[in-house]
Amino acid sequence: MPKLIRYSPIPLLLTLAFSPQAQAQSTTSDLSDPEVAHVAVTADNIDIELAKLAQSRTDNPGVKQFATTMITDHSAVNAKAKALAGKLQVTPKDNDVSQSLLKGAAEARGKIEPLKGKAFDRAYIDREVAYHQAVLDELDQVLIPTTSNAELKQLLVGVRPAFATHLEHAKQLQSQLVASK
Amino acid sequence: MIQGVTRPARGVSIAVLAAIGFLGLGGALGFRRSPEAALQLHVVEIRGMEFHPRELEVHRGDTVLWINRDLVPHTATSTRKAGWNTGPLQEGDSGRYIPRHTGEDAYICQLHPVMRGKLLVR
Repeated sequence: MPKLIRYSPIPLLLTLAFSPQAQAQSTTSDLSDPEVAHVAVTADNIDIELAKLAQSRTDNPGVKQFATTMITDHSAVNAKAKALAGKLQVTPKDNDVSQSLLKGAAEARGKIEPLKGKAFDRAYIDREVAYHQAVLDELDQVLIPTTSNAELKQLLVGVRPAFATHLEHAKQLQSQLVASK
Repeated sequence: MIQGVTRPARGVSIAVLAAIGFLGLGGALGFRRSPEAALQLHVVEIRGMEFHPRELEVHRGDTVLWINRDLVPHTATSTRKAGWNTGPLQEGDSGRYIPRHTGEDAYICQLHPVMRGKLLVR
């Protein structure tokens, strides 16, 4: 089984779980390749699922377009990641990290879902700003520098500009939503 | 279909598009060009979530071809109301536009509005 990356997942969890409870559980010191693949796919799916909620709930055309783009782009990244995992014969395996991410996502969704109108839009976009900033930090500080597999590194480097653009887009919407209070 | 944009099929070569531009479009559009000022094909690559080049000077009747090298889909969409639009371009797809009026023509990616480009049409 090829070893793709080996790193401490703690920073990733601290930034992505968005939940004190989830963070407290995220103390695993290492991840296997199948687990890393599962975390990557899970992280994408979490953003896709929240975007689907936003798509169905928002009346703001800009927020709706952003949500649609999140679904499209993260689905594309997921498809590429799954294809690479298949090529490298890595079968994603559920693990504590993925479970923590899912728990944190459920808690975030629980806070956002009851909101309506502009309050919903602001909460969704605020989370998207925090999420994409966290992923970028993790890519720059941990994932890209520590990845030795050339193809995986290339994928991570290749998707980084998309995350940066998502962050810029979310910040732009955040400013517009604040201004329209 | 929004005006002014055609979508070549995936895999259509730049050479073929250039030939179309040189042989067909000039006559069809009836532009008055000096003999040395042949219609040109300009390629804008979309990679790393940016248009390369971001600004491009072209002449009326030239063909501008956008090729998406990114993993995620993009568009090239005029910021003018009811302007031209390539529509979504998947990875490896291309779309083209033939400017018919002089002036500045700003455009964005509709899916990622922070991505901006500009045509300077002479």
